[in-house]
Amino acid sequence: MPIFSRASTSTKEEQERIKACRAGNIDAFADLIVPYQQHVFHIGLQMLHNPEDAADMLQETMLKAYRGLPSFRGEAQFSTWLYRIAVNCCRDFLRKAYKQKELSFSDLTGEGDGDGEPNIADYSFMPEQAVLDGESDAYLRRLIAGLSPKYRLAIILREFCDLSYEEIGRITNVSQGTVKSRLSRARAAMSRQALLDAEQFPQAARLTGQKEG
Amino acid sequence: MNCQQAQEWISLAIDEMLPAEEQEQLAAHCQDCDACRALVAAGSALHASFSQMALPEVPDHFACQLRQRLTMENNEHPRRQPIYLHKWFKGIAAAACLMLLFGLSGVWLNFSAGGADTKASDAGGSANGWATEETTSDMPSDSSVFLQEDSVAADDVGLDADTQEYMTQEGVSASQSTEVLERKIIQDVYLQLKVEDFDEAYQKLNDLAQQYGGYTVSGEVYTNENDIATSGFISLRVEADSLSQALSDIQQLGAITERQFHTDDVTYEYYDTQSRLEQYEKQKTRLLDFYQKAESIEDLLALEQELNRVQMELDALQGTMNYYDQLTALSLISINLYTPSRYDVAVEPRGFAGFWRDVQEAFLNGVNGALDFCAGLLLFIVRLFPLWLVLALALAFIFRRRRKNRLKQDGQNGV
Repeated sequence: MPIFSRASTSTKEEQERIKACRAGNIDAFADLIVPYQQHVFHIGLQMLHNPEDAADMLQETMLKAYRGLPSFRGEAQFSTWLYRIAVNCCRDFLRKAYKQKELSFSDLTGEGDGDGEPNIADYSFMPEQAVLDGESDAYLRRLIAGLSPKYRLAIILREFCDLSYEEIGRITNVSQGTVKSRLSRARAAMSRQALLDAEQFPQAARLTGQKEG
Repeated sequence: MNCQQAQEWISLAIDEMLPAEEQEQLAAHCQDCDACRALVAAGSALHASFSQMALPEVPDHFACQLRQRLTMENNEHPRRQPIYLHKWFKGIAAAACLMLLFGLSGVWLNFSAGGADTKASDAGGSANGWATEETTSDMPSDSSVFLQEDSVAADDVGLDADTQEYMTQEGVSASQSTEVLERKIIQDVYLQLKVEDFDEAYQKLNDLAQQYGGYTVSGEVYTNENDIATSGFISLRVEADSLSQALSDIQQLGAITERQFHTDDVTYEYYDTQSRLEQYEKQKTRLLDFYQKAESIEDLLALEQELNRVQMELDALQGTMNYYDQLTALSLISINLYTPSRYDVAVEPRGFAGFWRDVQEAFLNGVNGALDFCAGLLLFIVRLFPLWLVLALALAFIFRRRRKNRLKQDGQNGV
């Protein structure tokens, strides 16, 4: 799929709905977010590792979007604008988690993306069961979950939300070049892990493009 | 090319963003490098798998919960619905347009009526601060009323207190001040007269002046392009006593379309002059007495000089008296004569000059009309200012009520 295609283009219908939402129409808002709510939830699940947090983050994102809609000027696409809110929400949740659980995490956004990046991915916790089950969706999620947050975010926005490099850059506040390098590093890390797993577990072989056995 | 470079290109290739030339370079590199070849295969396979991954379903309670929160949000921070989104907006707008249209037609009618008025008064000529009346036919009765009034006023003699005091101070005899004094009034009449035959009317007016003991003061005649007299001006003087008769004679000549009266009461000035005249007469008599009894040459010379001065004063005063006498004895009738405009029977090629002038005129009329219209519209809107206020208040009330109702409904539905 060419990268210029978008998950959804800003249609006239969408603009009508946005107008109605500004006036306080809740039904119009519900219709407006339907095409994006699963993507937003997915971002939450992948970024927060926790369905409850993801559900809260989804609520929070939509409420913020509803509040902020009157100031949405339509310069960017609605989807881009909504994902940006979602990403900011995730960051807030992660920050909270960091304070509570003292977990280390790299900042999702910003330019601190030097060549000497120590942790692109950490697959030390990857349970073997997921691989052994042969359930590819669960395995793929684990693969993404192993990435450190800013790489994970780039992959999610690219692979699941089908956004262009430019849009990803806008959402995460980085340049397109940075998006490019993050994506390539994340993909390389995932590919290497998948290849390792394929050596150990023949069930995972088809995910690496190699013949089973 | 090294493997790190290849890693970036592989990612770009997966996103279909790698230029063809570099794709070839990458392919060449992968033939030699097993690791990179494996990365290409694994990366593409993963990309394909990701695109087939099912999106997670949002929690069941998401929609419900969101609705509740948004309703609360709406209650806490009510939103103003833009007026043009409102259900009633179209109806109200249509009604307003209709009203405006009615108003405009009213303004338009007003304007055309106003224009006609202006034209009429233009035709009526200048007023000069005179009492102006427009009449068509009831001229004689009105004028006789005017003249009767005047004669009554003349009978009802008696100078005002100022004059009497002045006279006694100056030593006017008691018999004089109680004497019945005639009011001295100068009367001017201005008429606008429409006649069928200009020349005949003009001649008759000249005759009229002589018939009533007066004369023609001035006259002007204007002719049209065919050398036919169509309008003119003539002023006559007739004896004040025959003014009424003269006016009714003029009435016979044509239709009087406008008349103005003007009177100037010179009684005070007249009798003031008269008393000063008498004073000088007495002085003159006394001087003549002295002159006859004078013995020395110096006295004679001095007296003669004084007599000369008195005589000059007397002459000047007498002149003023005569002037007043004449003005009051002869009333001035100024008549603007005109004939009703007729269409030219002869067909003459007018050429394009005339046509272009007409076009210009039409264009200017159009522009003026548009400007008048705009001005009228503005005036109309401003004039309806109180109505707008009431309308705005009513609308605000309705919107408020409807929003409250809506919020209440949302709250009851609880979703």
